[in-house]
Amino acid sequence: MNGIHDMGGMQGMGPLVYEKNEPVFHEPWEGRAWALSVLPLLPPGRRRNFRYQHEVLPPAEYLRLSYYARTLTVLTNHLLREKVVTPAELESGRAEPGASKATPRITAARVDAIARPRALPPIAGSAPRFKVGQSVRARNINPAGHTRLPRYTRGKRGTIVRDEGVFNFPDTDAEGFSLDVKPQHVYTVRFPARELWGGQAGALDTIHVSLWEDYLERG
Amino acid sequence: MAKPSKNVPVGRRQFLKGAAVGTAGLIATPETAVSQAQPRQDDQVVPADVALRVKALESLLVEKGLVDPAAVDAIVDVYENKVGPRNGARVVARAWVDPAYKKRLLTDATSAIAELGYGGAQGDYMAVVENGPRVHNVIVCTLCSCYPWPTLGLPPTWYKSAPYRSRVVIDPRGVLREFGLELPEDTEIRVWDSTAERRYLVLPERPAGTERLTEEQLAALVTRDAMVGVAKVQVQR
Repeated sequence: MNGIHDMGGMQGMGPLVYEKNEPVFHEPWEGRAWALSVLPLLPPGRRRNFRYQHEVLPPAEYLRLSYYARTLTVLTNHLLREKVVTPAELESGRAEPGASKATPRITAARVDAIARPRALPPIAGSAPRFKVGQSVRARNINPAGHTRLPRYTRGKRGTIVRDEGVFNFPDTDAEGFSLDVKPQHVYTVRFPARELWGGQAGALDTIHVSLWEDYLERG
Repeated sequence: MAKPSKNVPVGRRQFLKGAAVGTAGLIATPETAVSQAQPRQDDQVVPADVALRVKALESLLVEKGLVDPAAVDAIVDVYENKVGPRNGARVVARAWVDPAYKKRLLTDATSAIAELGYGGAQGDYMAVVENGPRVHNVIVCTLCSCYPWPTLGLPPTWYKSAPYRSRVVIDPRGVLREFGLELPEDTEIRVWDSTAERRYLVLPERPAGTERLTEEQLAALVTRDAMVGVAKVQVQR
C-alpha cells in the first residue's frame, strides 16, 4: 500500500529530535503495551498481518501518535478485527460471560528464549532466478496491501550484492491477509543514490534494499 | 462519555471508552482518543489516559487467559535491563582485537554474534557492515522500525521517527550532519534499508590512540549511535 509508512525519500518531516540518554521506556505503560504487542496473543488461524495494521492507520494518526501510543492503538484495533476481544469487553473491561478461557502461549519461564541464539529452520524454495553481480530492476507495481517494496525503488535499476536465501513472500491483500506464501529468494540490491534521486545525490553513495524475487525483473 | 457504573472503577471505565473510540477508523473517529493529549518534545502525542488504557487492556487479556502477566514483566525486564547496545559494543571490541573473529563476523555475522551469546528475535539474520577511511555505513528501516535487538536493544525514538526514516535515504550526508557527523566529500556513504529479515550492525573504525586499551576498555568507547552509523567512535578524554 502506498501509505504514510512508506516514507523513504519524503521531505518536510522536520528536523531530527535527539534525546540524550534516552531510556528504553519513558513510562511503565510503554513497556507493557509493547510487550503485549510482541506476545503471541491470537490463537492459530488465518490472521491479518499485524504490521499491516500500522500501515492502515489514518496517515494523520500515524504521524501524530507517539510510537508506543501507536502500538497500543494498533494492538487494540487488531484484537477487535480478529475478534479476540469484543467491543463490549473493551467497554466493560471484563470478559463476556461464557467467553472461552485460553491458556497463555508464552509463560514467563519461556521469555528468556526470545533473546537467545537459535537456528531457524531453512525454508525450502525454488532455485534462484538471479545471481550476485547481476543487474536488476525493481518492478513498477503498486500492491494494495502490505508489501516490502519501497516506493522509492520502483522502476529503478540496481545490482544484486547478496542472495539472502529463501523467505516466504510477505505481501498481503488489501485486508491484510497473506497472499500465497510462495517461498522465494530475497536479494540485497545496491542502488546508486543518483539512480534513485538524480544528480543532487552523492556520486559515490549507495542505498541497499533487500527485495523478494517477485519484486524484481532483469534490468 | 458513559457514566461509570457502581461496579466499575471510574478510571477503568474511562479507559474502555477511550480504547473503543481510540481504535482509529474502526469504530469511530480517533479524535476522541487524543483530545486531551499532551504535546511531547517531538510534537507527537499520547492520549492522556493511556496508562490506564494499557492496564485495563492487559487485565482483560489476562482474564481471557491470553496473557501471563509475569511474561509481560519478563519481556520488559529483558529489553530494559538485559539486552542493549552493550552487547553490540562487546561484538565490536572483539572484532577490533581479534582479526579471526572479525573475519567470521563479516562473513557470517549471526554465528559470530552467537559466539558471544547474543541472538534471537530481530537478530536471526545479521549482517555486519564495516566502516573504513573512505566508507561509511548507516542503517535505517524506512518502512517501520526494524533494528537488531540482540546487539542494540530496542531502537531510540529518533530511529523510529519520520524525520530519520524519510530523509536518511535521500540525504544521508545532511542527516549525519544533524547528528554532528561531517564526512569528507570523498567518503562513500552506504545506506542499508532493513526491508526484509536481515538486520544490520555497523562495525565502526577503531579510533587512533587506543592501541593499549583492553578489549573491555574498547567496548566502553563504543556507542549505540556508532553502531547505527550516525556517529564515529571517539576516545573519551
